[in-house]
Amino acid sequence: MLAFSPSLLAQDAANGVFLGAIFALLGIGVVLIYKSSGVLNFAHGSMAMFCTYIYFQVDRSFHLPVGVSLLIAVACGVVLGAATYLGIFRRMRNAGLLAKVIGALAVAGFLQGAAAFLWRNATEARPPQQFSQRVVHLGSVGLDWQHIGTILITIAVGIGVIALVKYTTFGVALRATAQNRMAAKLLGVKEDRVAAMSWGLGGGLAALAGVLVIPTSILTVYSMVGYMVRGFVAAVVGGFVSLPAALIGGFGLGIAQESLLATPIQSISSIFAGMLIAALLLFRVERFFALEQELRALEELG
Amino acid sequence: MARVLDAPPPDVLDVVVPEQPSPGRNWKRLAVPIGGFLAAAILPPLLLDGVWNFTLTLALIYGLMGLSIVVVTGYVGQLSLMPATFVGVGAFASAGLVARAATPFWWAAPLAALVTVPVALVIGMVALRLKGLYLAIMTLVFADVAEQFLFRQDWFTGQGGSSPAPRPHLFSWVDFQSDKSYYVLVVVVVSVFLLFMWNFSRSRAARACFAVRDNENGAAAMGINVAKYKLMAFALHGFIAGSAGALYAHWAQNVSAGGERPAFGLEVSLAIVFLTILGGVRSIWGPFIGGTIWVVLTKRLLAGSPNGQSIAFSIFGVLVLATMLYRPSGLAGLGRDAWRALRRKKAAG
Amino acid sequence: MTPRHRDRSRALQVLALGTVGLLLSSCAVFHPQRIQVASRVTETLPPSAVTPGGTGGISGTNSKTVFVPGRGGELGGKPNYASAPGVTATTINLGIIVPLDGPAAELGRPLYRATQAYVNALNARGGIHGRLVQLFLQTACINCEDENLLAAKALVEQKHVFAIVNTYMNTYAFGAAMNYLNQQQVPLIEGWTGIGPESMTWSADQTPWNVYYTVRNEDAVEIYADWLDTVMSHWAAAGKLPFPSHPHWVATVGLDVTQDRKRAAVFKQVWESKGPDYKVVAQEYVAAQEEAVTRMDSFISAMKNAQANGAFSASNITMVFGMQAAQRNSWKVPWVSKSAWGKAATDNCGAACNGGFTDNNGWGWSGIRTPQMQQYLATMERYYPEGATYADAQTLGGWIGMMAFEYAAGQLGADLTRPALMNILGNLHNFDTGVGAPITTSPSDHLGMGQLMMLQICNNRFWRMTNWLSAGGPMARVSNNGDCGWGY
Repeated sequence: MLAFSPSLLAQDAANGVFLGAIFALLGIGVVLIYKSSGVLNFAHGSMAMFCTYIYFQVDRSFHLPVGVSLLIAVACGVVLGAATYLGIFRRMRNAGLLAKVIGALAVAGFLQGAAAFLWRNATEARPPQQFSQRVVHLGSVGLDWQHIGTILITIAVGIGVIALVKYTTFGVALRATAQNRMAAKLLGVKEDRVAAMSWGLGGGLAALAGVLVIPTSILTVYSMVGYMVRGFVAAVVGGFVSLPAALIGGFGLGIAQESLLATPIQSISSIFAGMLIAALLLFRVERFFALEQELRALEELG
Repeated sequence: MARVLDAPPPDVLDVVVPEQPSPGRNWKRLAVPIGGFLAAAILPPLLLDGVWNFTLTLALIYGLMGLSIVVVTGYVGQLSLMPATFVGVGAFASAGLVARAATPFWWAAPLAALVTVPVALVIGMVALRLKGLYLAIMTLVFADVAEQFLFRQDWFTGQGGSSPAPRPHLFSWVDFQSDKSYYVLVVVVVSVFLLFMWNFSRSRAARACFAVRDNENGAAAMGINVAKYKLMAFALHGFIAGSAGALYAHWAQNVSAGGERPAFGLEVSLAIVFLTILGGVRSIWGPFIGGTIWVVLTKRLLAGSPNGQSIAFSIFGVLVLATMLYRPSGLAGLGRDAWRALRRKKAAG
Repeated sequence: MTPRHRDRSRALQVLALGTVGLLLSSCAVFHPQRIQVASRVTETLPPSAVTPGGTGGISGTNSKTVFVPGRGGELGGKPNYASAPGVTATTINLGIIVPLDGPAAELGRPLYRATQAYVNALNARGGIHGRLVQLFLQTACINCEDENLLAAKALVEQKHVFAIVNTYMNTYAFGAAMNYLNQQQVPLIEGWTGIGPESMTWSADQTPWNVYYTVRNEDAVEIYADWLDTVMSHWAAAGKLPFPSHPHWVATVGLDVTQDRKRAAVFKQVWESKGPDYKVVAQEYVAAQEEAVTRMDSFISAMKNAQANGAFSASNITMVFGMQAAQRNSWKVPWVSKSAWGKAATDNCGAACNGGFTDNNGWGWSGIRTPQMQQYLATMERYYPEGATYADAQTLGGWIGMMAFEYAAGQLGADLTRPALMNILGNLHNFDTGVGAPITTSPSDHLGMGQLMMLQICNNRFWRMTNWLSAGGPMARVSNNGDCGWGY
């Protein structure tokens, strides 16, 4: 039923940039967490969802300005991430893959059940958007301010995180741990501190993604699952180690996925992410991004 | 490196070597499992009502689903997050064979389990190329693809995404229409699987599996055909899960896969993995302990209360975490340790 | 392990065991809901202004049965006895299976509340023919086939319920439970869920023991088409259609599920049969509810590019997000949707949904001034004061289900049996609850309603636009006070 037309494609691509921003935010968080502790955070989406519920609750109970509620939600994400690491994954530093995967899934399950219970009366909750819903038209393409704001925030935050990892002591410590744990420890890197900070940062990014995207739809305990999966794809694009690749991969995935809707093969759009991750994994994409040491460390970690 | 999961493999090293197997001794060793089997088969139908038998049947079926995880993850170390997909394949295959192809259950159920094997081998072949975490992710992708495509095809699921699955009958003697009789049937089938697994866990093949699990490169260096055991693991994973699916289909007498949330999707897969971990991922009893707790608790005891089930799920999350952190051998391991401690005390004085 | 670790691990084990123990003991607290079978309560409901003609029997002139709860009166004569499973001389056991957990709680909770409140009020006035009702609750995740089946079995075989009421059966996952209940010949009385996915459509041979009162699909779609036609003609007259050169072109959108596809297909048939210029130029299907949010713009762009002047939405989600996307894409046309009567539209849509039309599925409207509606509002207010205005589909639907049950059971008196109950419920003739459309059921039709009212969303509220409309009948608008007019 959809005829192929350039303006349709442009609109879809524009929507894709917005979604891609969310994927990128989630992907960067996942990469940070993975690099610092070898855990693929299956609870990433649940953390985002939980903090968005907090955002919704804070807004409903205290009627604070939206920006303040957003900061509180992000703070919640930081605390949740760091606490998850310190409470659980710190003990699993030397554990096998099973423990880490199941641990993350168990955290996800716990957060889901807890949110379902705590907000059992908040059915059809609609937390407020941060930006207005007025549409800006650039040619035939229309985006509302929420979309534009999200994209700009993501780019800014993404560049900030990349700079953080590249130029600060924390970032150096993180990269060192990821490349050669033993040597990093010997050199005095406190890997628990680095990991806790990475988890905190990752959690905060997840919360940010949640509060930016969920207000455009409905808040339920399952709201973030689909986004999280695509965040994983973005992370895989970077081989789980490269932040710039995750950022670009997220945007790219969003644009590609949405643009498919304007083509005759639109039904593939919903499984496109899955197909992409399969292709990336089977063709060993991490080879392109990880250094030799990181690859070896990756193998050891998982 | 010391690892959280450092419990020794079950039963293989655990054999308390008897001095000399004397005839009297052998007799006694068989008494426990046979007694247990008889008790499990006879007591619930005698003492409990139909609904409880129905519930316990489901617990055993979930336990069997978990047993498939024990093989692939507990024994060979390949993390599969898609058991529910194979359960679904087995369920629809059996239902379809019985309802549409008029195959008797006694042929249909094993066939359904066999049909699941090639599907499992697809991901098995992926397991040859991808390890650990990447494999786990691929199982999630496969589960999603199966849900989007396979479980939406009418030729597979039946018209409208749903298929009846009538109860079997044994010639004209026994009709398994009643819940108690079906319970006994399931006990028998599960016992057969347990017997097989118990034997298998003592075999040389199992030792090779454990070697692959604990150190894949080392195992390859020792000359073990890692690929063969990985494929075997997935084949068994599919077969056992498919059997559980067939048993499930005829338990409910209907299978359906339509609707907004998938019937054989991630949530069910995670429940299966969780209950196996809780019970003990390396123990053949583990999934049955976990399955009984899961089914009886969340689907019976808490079914009369609002929010009971979401609270239960959170508590399960906590318990699974505690298991991974502190007692990776699960509740079965706890039981075994307690049993050993008791025996030691008895031996000591 | 160091001693400290051992202590900590032991402590954690104790904690874990304690939690499990606590959970198990909590089941002693959370037993299935049961009404206090206590002595009669003497207070009465607020008096109603009018006593309608019939008192539960069939009245003469227009062969209509008007039912007011509690006005059936005693049948007198035969004393009660244990006439059926779940029925004793003094009690009737009813069961209800609803999700009260997770996102589906928004469906289950109103149904449960309506049922529980009705039962409370019923028992307060002495029950049915002197028998008080005990309501047994089982919760089940809405898409869990095994939980629904276990719940149904537990209710029938352990709690021995006479019938199951107001259970959300409109899912594939309920199929196993549905088959079981029909096989056991347990009545399943439902005032809400309406027509389910294709495999669940009511059928005389497969599910004869179900009744669920809602407007028939064929009638509803015809009314939607006629109403959209009427609205579009007003837009055309005011010059507000975006593509005035073909004023009868419309598009449809819905979820990619069987029932929406069927509805849209029937709509297309009905629409295009109106005349040569009547065309459905685009039919979009959205893959999933989440994707209704993220992809709506593409679908709306397609509908706009096809130059449609009106939109029919087969389900509420696609209307709520569709109208928002339409606003973003500057495509202002009249919208008619099935079943968008709920909080999703008023809470989540904002000004984008102003002027959108939907229907009440045949389940009444709180502004109707009938004694039954007063009763409904007063009772809900009394037992669930923290709720909203109760002008919502689920609660009203559940109420209607209970009304039908009380009526039929009241008719039978002491001889309350399952077949007799279904005989009445399946052969109603113009049964007027005063709260919903009149119900006429027959052996080939257990849905029974052929009328609905059109509503409009305006300024985050619903407004009633019409009285009861019938397929093929006039589309008359009554004043709505909503200031949204015809929507332009």
